[in-house]
Amino acid sequence: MTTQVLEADSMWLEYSGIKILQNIYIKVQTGQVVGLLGRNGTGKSSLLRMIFGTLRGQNQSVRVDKQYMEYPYQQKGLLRYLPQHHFIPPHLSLRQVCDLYGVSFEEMCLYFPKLKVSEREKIGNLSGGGARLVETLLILLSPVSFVLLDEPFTHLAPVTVDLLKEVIQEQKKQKGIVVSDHAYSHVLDLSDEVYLIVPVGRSILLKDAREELTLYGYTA
Amino acid sequence: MKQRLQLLIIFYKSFWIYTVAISVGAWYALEAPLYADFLRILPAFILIKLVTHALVLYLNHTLYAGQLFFYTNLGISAMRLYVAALGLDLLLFLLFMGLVHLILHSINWLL
Repeated sequence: MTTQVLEADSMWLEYSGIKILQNIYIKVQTGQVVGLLGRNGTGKSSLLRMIFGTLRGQNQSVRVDKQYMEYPYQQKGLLRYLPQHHFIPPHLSLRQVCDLYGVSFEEMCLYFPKLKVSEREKIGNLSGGGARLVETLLILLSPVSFVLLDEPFTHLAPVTVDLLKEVIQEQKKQKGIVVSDHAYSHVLDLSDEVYLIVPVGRSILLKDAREELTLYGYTA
Repeated sequence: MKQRLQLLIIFYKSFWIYTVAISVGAWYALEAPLYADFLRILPAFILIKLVTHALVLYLNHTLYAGQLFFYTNLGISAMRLYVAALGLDLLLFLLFMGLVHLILHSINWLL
């Protein structure tokens, strides 16, 4: 498999003169999980949406294999994004969304056999955790080169989180994965590299993540 | 193409009841004109549709903002979705008008 590299820099975002992001560099390649950490309000979600291409800042540069992408989400088979909140229209069934996203329902069930009974179930009828799991799997198993996961572990039971971490490790063989979550220990377990976003909108590539997180005041 | 149409229908289904009600309501408020009279009011009708469509989409965007990612993940921008939904809405109304004209024409012919 050829390695693809996704890079984002010159990300400059401000609202009403308040700087959110200004000095960012992040790089992820296929076969890698990159963790993105930072306190609330440091702009992690905004950064992910800028990389995805749906949020336009004052300036941004997203490149894949050194080629500039103005709207990365419009490139077929390039990347998908898991937002923090539910995003699947509730009246669609699990089978329908899998078909639309080109994701194998059977593969989903291989990881989580309990989903088999929900094949024709509407997403809106699933529990909060169930819907979140489906959304995360839908993005993670998508036939794309990169996935951006914003808070994938929210609402999930610990046993589900452990299984999901296995899926992420499995999927990274074919994809580049960016994970941002406040459950930082899970992010650290998974990540090959970790970036910390610190005020005001700077990214730092951590060498010894656990130690430096304390140093920068992210953990006690 | 088939998938895009499918996605457009999924999106349109989330608010079609309001836009169809507005179309029929606006036509009725403009005294339900037919034939040449309908063509005369068409610019005003389209203007009403543009304004109300923007309002409906604004509310939809505010209440269900997260759902836009369902479509952008499949490569469709919000703007493209909005414009296509307006096109579909107008097309449905024109088909409705065509049907009304056809029924009236048939009744006149029978009488």
